[in-house]
Amino acid sequence: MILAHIRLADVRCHCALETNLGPRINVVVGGNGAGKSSVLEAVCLDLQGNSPRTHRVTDCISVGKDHLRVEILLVPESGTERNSEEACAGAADAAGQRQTTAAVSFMRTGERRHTADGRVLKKADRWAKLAPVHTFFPDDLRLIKGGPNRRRQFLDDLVSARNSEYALSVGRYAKALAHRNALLQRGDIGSQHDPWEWILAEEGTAIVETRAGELAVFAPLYTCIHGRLTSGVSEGIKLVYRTNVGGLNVEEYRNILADQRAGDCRRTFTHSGPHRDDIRFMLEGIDLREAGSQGEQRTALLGLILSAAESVAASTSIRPILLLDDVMSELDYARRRALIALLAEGGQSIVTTTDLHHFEEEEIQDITVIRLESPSSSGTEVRPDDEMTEAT
Amino acid sequence: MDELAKLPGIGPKTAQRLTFYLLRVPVEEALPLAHAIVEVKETMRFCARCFNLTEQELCAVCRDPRRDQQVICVVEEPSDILSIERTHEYRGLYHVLGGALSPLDGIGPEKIHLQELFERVEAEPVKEIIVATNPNLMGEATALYIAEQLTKQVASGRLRVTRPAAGLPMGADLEYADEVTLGRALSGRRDL
Ligand SMILES: [Zn+2]
Repeated sequence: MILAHIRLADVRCHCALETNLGPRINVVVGGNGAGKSSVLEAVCLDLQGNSPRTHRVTDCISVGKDHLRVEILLVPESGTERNSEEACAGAADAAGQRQTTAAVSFMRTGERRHTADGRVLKKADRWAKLAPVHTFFPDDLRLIKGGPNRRRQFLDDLVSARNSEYALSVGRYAKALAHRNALLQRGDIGSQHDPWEWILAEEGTAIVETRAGELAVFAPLYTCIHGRLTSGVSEGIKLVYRTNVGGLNVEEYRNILADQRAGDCRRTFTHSGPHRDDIRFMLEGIDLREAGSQGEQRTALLGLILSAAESVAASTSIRPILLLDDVMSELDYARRRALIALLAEGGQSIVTTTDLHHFEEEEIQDITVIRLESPSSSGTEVRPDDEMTEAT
Repeated sequence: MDELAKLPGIGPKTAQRLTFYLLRVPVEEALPLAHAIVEVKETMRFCARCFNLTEQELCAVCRDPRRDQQVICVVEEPSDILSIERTHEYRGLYHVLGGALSPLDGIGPEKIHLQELFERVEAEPVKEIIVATNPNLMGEATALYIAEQLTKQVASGRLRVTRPAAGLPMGADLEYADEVTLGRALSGRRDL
C-alpha cells in the first residue's frame, strides 16, 4: 500500500495540515521549525503506533490541545503507474486490496485509538504488514552506536519478514530463557534446568542457523547498496554476524548450558545463546561502532535502512515506505545523486529537506514536492507543488 | 461479588453479571446452586492414586478393572481426563499433575504430583507413560522433565515415554482440542 493523502490535526506545530502524496519520491520542503520531521513522525504514530523521536507520545500533541489526530489514506500500489490520482481511483481493487483510511487519535491522558475506516482496531500492528514503514532520523544512530538490543531487533524484524516460523522460535526461546533465568536467580542449578536447556538448545541452534543464513543473503545486498551510496570509494562495508553459540549441534549446545549453570547462577543470567548475538559493521577493518566517524555511521545506517526495505520488498512483494529525515544535508553531491537514484528504483518515500537545491532539475521532474510554510499556522492547507510535479 | 471474581475464568465484569443474575432468580432456584457448591466441598476429593476428581477413595477409572493397567496418561488437570475420555480412543489409566512446571511462577517439581508419578512407575506394572500435558511451552517442558527423569527405566527397555503426536494447536489447552484431533494425536504418539 502507499500513502495517498495525509491529514494531521494538532501534531506538534501543525494545527491542521493536509496534503496529497505521490506514489514515488515525496520531498517535504521547509525552513527550520516548519515541522518537517513532525510530518514523518505523524506517519509513524498512525502506522506504527509510536514515535521514532520520543517514547512519550503526549509530547507530540500541540501545546494547549488535549489530543492529536492523524489520518492517512492508503491505496494499493499500482505497479509502475506513477500517477497518484489514478492510483487512488482506478487500481483500488486490482490487487484484491481496497483503499483504507488508517487513523489514530492520541489523548493527553494517554489513551489512544487506532481505526481502519472508522472501525476501532485493538492494535496498530495491522498496518505493519500492509504498509510497513522504515525510518531514518540522522540523530538517532543508536542502531549503529548503541547496545546490541536494537541490532538484534533489527535482525529479528528482517528475518521475520521472510520467515514466519522464525518469530515463533524467537518467542519460545525468550520464554524458556526467562524460566531458566528464574531458576538461576533462585540459586537452583539442578535437574530442573534440563527441560528448559533442551528447549533453549533446540530453538537456539535454529535461531542461530536462520540468522546466519539470512545474513548471508542480506550482507552482500547491504555491501552493494552502501557501495552505491558511497560511490564505491571504500573496499566495501562488511556486515559480520557475532554469536557465542555458533557451529554447535543441539547436544553440544545443551552440554555448554549445563556446564555453565554454576557460573550463570553467580551472574544470575544465561551467558550463552542468541540473546547475546550482535552484528558488526566493518569498514576497511574498522568497527564502525567503536571507531567510525559520525558521517560514516550515518551512511552505514542509511544504507542499512535502504537495504532492509529492499530485502522486505523482495521477499514479501510489499514495498516498505521510507521516511528519511533531513538526509540530503548529510551527503555530498555524488552521494545525493546515488541516494535519489536508489529511491527512484524503490517504492514510496518521503524525504524532508530545508533546501530544494539539493535536488537536480531533472530529478525534480519525478518528485512530488510538498512545501511547508514556517511555522504552519491554523487552517493552512498544503498541496503538492503543481508546477514542480509531473504527475498532476 | 468479590467471591465470584475469585473463580477461575471469571473477571470483575462477569462477576457483576452473575451477581445481577443471582439477585433476579427466585430463592428456590438459587438454593440448589448453593447446595451444589457445599456438596462439592463435602463429597468431592482427589483420587488417592491418580489425583482425578472422585467421591470415593479411588476414582472411577482407577476402580475399573477393565482399564489397561500398563499405560498411564499424564495430564495437567482433571478436566483433561474428560476431554480424552470423550474420544473413546484411550483405555489406560491417568495421572493428574495439578499443573505444569513454571519456574517463573515458582512452580517446581515439588509443587505438582511428579514424585507420586515416579513412585507409581516403580510400584505398578507400567509399560508406557503418555505425557499429554498441554501443547504449550510449560506443558512441553514438563513432558521433557518427565522423560529426563525416567531415562534409566527407558534405557533398560521396560518403559516407553511418549507424547501425543503434533497436530494439536500450539499453545492451546487440551481442554479445547476437538475430539477427532485429540483422538488422532493420541493414537499417533511418538517417543520422547
Ligand atoms: Zn484415579
